[in-house]
This record gives sequence, C-alpha cells and structure tokens, in this order.
Amino acid sequence: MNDIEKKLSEVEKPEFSNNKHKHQLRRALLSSSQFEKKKSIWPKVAFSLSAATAVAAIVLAVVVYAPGPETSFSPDFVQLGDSDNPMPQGNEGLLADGGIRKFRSDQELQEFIAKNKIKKEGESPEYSMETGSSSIARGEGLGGGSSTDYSTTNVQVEGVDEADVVKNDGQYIYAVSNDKVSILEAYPAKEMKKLSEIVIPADEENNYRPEAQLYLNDNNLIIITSEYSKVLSGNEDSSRCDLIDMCPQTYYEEEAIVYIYDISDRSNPKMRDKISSSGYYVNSRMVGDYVYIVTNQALSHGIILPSIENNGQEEVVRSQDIAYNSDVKDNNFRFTSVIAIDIVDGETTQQVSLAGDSQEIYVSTGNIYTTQTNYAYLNENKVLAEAEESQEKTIINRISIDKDKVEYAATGEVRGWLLNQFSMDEYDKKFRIATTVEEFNGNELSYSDNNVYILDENLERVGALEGLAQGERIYSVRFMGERGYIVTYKEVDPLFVIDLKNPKNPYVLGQLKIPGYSDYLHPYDENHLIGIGKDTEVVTSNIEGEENIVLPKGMKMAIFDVSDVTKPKELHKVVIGDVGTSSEALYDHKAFLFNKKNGLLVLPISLAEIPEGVEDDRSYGENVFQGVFVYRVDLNKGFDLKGRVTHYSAEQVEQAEFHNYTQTIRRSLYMDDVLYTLSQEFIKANQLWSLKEIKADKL
Amino acid sequence: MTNSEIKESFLVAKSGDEEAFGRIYDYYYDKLSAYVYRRVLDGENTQDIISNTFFKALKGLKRFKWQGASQFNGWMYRIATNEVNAYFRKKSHYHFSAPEDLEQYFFDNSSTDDVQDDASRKIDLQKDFVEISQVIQELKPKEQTLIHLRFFEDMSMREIAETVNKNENSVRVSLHRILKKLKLRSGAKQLNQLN
Repeated sequence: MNDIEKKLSEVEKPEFSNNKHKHQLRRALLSSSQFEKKKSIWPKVAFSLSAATAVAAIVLAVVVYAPGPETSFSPDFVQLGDSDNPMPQGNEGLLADGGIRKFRSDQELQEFIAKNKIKKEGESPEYSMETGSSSIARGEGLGGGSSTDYSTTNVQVEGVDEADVVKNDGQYIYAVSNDKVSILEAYPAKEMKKLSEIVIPADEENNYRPEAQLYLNDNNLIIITSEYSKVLSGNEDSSRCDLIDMCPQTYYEEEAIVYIYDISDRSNPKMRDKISSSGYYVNSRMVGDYVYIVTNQALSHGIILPSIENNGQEEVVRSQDIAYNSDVKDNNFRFTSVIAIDIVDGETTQQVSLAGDSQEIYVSTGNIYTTQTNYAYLNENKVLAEAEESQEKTIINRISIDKDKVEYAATGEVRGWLLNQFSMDEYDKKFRIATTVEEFNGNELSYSDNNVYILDENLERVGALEGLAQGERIYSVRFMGERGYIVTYKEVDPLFVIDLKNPKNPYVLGQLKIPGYSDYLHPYDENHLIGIGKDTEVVTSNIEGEENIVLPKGMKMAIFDVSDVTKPKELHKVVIGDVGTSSEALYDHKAFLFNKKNGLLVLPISLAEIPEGVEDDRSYGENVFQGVFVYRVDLNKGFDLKGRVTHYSAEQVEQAEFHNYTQTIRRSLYMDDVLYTLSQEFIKANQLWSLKEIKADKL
Repeated sequence: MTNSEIKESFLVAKSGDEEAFGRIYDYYYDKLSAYVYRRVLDGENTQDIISNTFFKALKGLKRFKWQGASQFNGWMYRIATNEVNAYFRKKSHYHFSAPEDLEQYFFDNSSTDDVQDDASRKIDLQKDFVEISQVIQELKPKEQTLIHLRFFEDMSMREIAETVNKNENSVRVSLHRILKKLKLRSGAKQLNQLN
C-alpha cells in the first residue's frame, strides 16, 4: 500500500448531522403527491368545480350497451377499426411484421447487438414479482385426515398456478420462513405440528437473495430462489464465450434456482433436482405438470451465452437457438429465457430470445406474455431526465407454451405503461391490455389518459379504446370474459365497465364515480366485484383561488353491482381505519383470501387510527393493530366483521409495537372451518367464525 | 436495516405506503448525506443535493425494478452521485427547488445558520480530511467518485461497479490508475512545500 492509499484509508471522516433538515425533508417527501399517485396524498387538483359534487357517489352511463349479432372474427382478415368506430389515431409504431428469426451464428448475434443497441441502456420500470397468498378453491381432499374444502393461492387465471410463500393441500401447509421451508401437518388443527423443514442452501457469498417461493404438485414441492454469486471468467468458461468478442473477463451473475423436492414422506423431504438458469428470476407459473420460469440476463457487461444447469450438467444455449425480432431496435437487449420444467422427470427445455426486459408477465394456459415499458424520459444514467416529452410505450412478447414446447411467437407494441399482471388478459385468442399514457412537461405531469388495446395472435392491433379518463391513471383492472372493469383515479374513482365482445370495437358500457379508489378488483360473481383500495375525501380549500385538495382516508372495501352494466352501483362499502391504514392485499393479490361459498373474506391489515381529539385533517393515524380482519360477505348484508387475529403478543398490542416484520401476518388460508394465518415466524389456527384460537406454532 | 427489510420497505413503499418510504429514507439519509458532505464539504449545499437526491429517488421508485439490495443501494448512490456531479458543474447555480405543492415545508430556513456553523466547526476538527480532499478535488468528478466510494464509503469493488454502472474489472483498473495519479500529485505537492 502506498502512502496515499494509507492516508485515504486512515483519515478520520466527517459525518453530517442536521436533524432539522432531516425531519423537514422527510415530512415533505412523505407528503409528496409524486410520492405515489396510487395514494394521492393531497395532490393538486386540476379541475375544481365538478370535484365537490363528485364526492357524492354519482352514476354515469357513458355509452349504452347495444349488443349486435356477433360476427365471427378471422384473425387472417384483420381490419383496423370499422365504419361505426373508426380506429382512433395513433396506431403508430406497431412492428412491421412478425419478424421473428434465429441467429445464424455467434457473429451474427454480436453484430446484431452492436448495431441495434440504442445508447440508452434504460433500466425500465415496473414491478418485480412478489409473493402471494391464498384465495379460494375447492379441494377433493386427500383422503385420510385431510379437509374437504380448503383454499389455494388466489390466482389470476384458472388453471395457471402462481408461486407463493405458502401452499396448502388441505392437510399439510408448506410455508417459507426466512431461509427455510416448513412442512406442517395442519389438519386437524388442534394436533397441528411441524413435520420437517427444508433449509434452502445458502449461496456461496451469502449475498442477499429474494424470498423463496413455492409450487406444490402432488408429492413434489418446488422451491424457487436465486443466487447472485457466480463469478465467470471469460477464459475459464469458454463454452459460454466461444467466439464472442464481447465476452467480459469476469462477471457476476445472478441465477434463478429451482429445487424439486420429493415429499412423498412429508417428514423427510428429499431433494431430487436442482436446476439453475443464468439470469435473474423474473416470474413463473405452473400449468399442469410444468413449471415455466422466466429469467432475464442483462447484456450491459458484454455477451455471455445463457446456460441451464440441470443436476450439475451444464447446457449452453447456442446463438443459433436464440430467437430475435429483426425489427426491434429500441430495446434493452437482454436475454429472456423461458424454461419449461417437467416436474415429473425434472427435464428442462427452453427458449431464449433477445426480447428485452420482462417487467410484468401474463400467462394463460397456452401463452406467456412478457412486457417491457420504455419510459422515454429515463436518460442514460437511468435517472429521470428533465423536460423531455414522454413517449412511453410497452413492448409485448408472446411466447407460446405447450407442455415442454416453448416458442417465441410474436412481438407487438402499445402506447403507455401498464400497472400489473391484471392489466393483461387473453380471451378467445385475443390479447387485451390496459395502459396509461402520461406526458410530462419537465417534472410536471401535463397530460394522461387510459387505453384498452386488443391484439391478435401476432400482437397486431385489432381494436382499441383510447383517451379514457383524461388526467387520471389506472389503479386497477380486471378482465372478465367479454367485459373489462377499469378503475382510474384522480380524485374520485370512476369504475368503467367496458364491452369487449367485439374485439374490433371495445366501448364503455357504463361508469360509476365514487370517492376513493380500488387497487384490486376481485370477481364475486359475474355481476358483482369486490374492490379494495383507499378512501379519500375532496375538500374545497377555504383559501380563495386555491385548488381542491384530496385527503387520504382509511382503507376502503366495496361491492360493485354491475348487473345493469350501464349503471354500475356501489352496493356496499366499509372503511377500515384512518389514513395510514394499509394492506399487503392492495398490491399483492395473493394476500387476499376469499371464498364465495361461505362468504369468508380475510385481509392482512396494518390499522392506523387518528387519536381522538386530533382535529388536523392532515394528520396521520397511529399504528394500533396488525393482523387479519375476518369478514363474512354476502350481497344482502355486505361486509360483516367477525373478528381479528394477530401474531403480536398482548403486551405488544398494548404498547402498539407493530414493527417486527417477522410477526406481521401476510397470508391466510383455510381448511374446512379452520382459519390459518401465517407470519414469517408463526402459524396460528383459529375456529371459524368464533376465531377462538385452536393452536399456535412457530414456523 | 437488513437487506430483506430494505426489500420489504421498498416493495411496500412502491405500492404506496409512505411510512415504508420513510424507513428507506431514514436509513439512506444518514448514509447519503455523509457521503455528499464529504464530497462537497459544505453543509448548505449538502442539504440541497440531498433534497434533490431524495425527490429523484422518490420519483424513480415506481420505475425501479427490484433486482437485489446491492443494486438498489447502487441506484441510491448513483442518484446522489449524479447530483454531486451536477453541483460541481453548476456550482453557484445549483439549487434545490421544492415541488410547488411542497414549498410550504421548506419556508423555514432558520436552520441554515446553524448548519454553516456546524459545518465549519466540523471541518476545523478534521484538517487532515480537508487536506486530502483538496488533493482529491483536483481529480475529475468521476475519478473522485471512485475514490470516495472506495475509501470513505467503504464499498467493495462490486458495490462500486453497481453504483457507477461499470463492470468490476474496469472499476479496479480505474482505481489503480487514479491512485497512481494521486501519488504522483501528492508527491509533487510535498516537494513544493519543502521548497
């Protein structure tokens, strides 16, 4: 070590402390309307007069439902728009042709990337996938000591399972708890006991790893995790770098890891397969006996060919097997791998494509759709650039899946960005997607509207509904067959009912304006929806000339009646707590448990209340409870709160100490008439509906 | 804050929970303000830079895709670093401007004087650091960043690579080169002082 290095290492460093500034800035940040549009904390409101009236629920019918005889629609004969409803303008940018081909050589791969890489390695947005919880399904029962009715993960698409931190088969519960998976015999509940635990092997460098997620398939438990550790050297790992000049010398790589455990003996699970794929884990689904894993591998450090390792056998993907779309230029150039894992025999097949970043995915039983939103105003430092016009657009890739066949099939593009997986849907061979388009003038949002696009199998536009709810953005979407429901929000919550029967001509059937908004919409039956979100109040400012302010309130849950589609109604509603109350179910549908048959609805909730006597309508509530709220729901009586369950001790509750994440309930599930709740640390079984505690255990 | 707490807070914050953002803020305010302060050695400018940094982080939150805590850490430092660079470029023209609807939170500037006193007092206490900073500040801003992250923020090569968005090897090579340059300069400086 030379002198200067010694000095640098040993010099005493000054610290910075200015609590006043720290608090001032904190308050401002947390009150920011930018903070998240989702919650709209006192945003400036652009239109003022109508707002005050809109606080009262009013019902608007925009277009009358006028179903015509359905004509058969042939995708070979695509007509954009029709005479009754000409295509709105802005059909720009759809990729010219299917254009999907494979590279002929490593060299071609290199050249394509070098040539088409736009110098804006824009990190793009939108969510990573989190883990989820339970919703409802009816089980057959496993015979023996199993329940006859039990919940499974609340999934978007029937027949397409989603990974979660908890799985339930009506007798056993499989739960991720930190770095292990516990298997419990949970039925009957009073004899609940832990049978075994699987410690997920630590990665070499003990780096941070995302929480593991599970699938359950008969006597196989699938654990998905990832590692960020492997160091590759261009020389040592020549098989992945052969002939490629752009290969990095050393490279830290994130890998998605899938373990398959044989759990025929629940007390003694045995690891059967370990499969790893280069690239970080994006998301996955299980269809039948196949788990499909989507990974992304960035090329910002150079090109290193993707590989799969199956029980120690490495297979490098050849350039000749990598699919790409010759039309795509403006892209992040990542390898997107879709790997089909046959759970029964552990065999894998994969399709690698140069399909950019996969931010949100939607999976039907026959297709995986990955999306990448290009936010035009991210500059090359991946930081928001100032004053650039937004040209947000979302690129969609369709990868067809059929058992072990995986094929990159089409690329398409729409305006705007999408909220989450529920913004997408496939129905009758059409892909539907709801997006928000935003334009910024500098840092200020200057314009926004919302759109629904219907694309065919080639991801070319068949129909569109554009310009919905200007000035607002989408808060939740649910497609249900020939109808779509969209909640947009600025200060009141319009619920739009959209007719999608004719894919060429989607239109608004009706809308409902009510205060607050829904973050998640769950079908109750074909004519009713449950919405969960936040309540808000629009207050006219008492300072002259000042615009209205929207005050956030507690959480809100509502049942919408859409039997008369032209006049959707809010049938019931309940507001939970004061501002500051939130629920994991607002952003992760797997935390939402609902069983229509017995009306059970369970939500994990962090309850906040404003202490009595506080008059300031801008103050925030204090945390007074964390746990689940258990409701009985029916169309006549609405939401009937039966009770609450917490994993915090009486003492902690008394002192309002709810900071320990490991005791925070995230998921709930049921078997027959027993409700189970899970935090990272505990599992509790309570009787329905008395909620009398039957048994509690450490996980 | 552990990595899993950061992740949890991030995801919850992204979903619209300001308290979760508050947790991230509390953790990073201390880290980033110390980093920025060491780079600019001025309390008032540190406040401006940090304020801009957090508003940008807040804005970018929605668009940030979680890929691990070290990448998130790198992202936070990168925003702060970009602000520091902007400050070096604009100097007296560099300001913090509060979003219009939040100006009310920044009206009270009575703290400014305290900060300046505070800052100068601290720098007095640490002459060694001021001295070494003078040498560092003769480097290009990008070079300064590497030195700061390595020696004062105690980052590993990989963390630095995440922050400056380069591969690790090129960070290593650059640091080696910069240290060599610094050594030459400090040698020359001492020589001058002797003369």
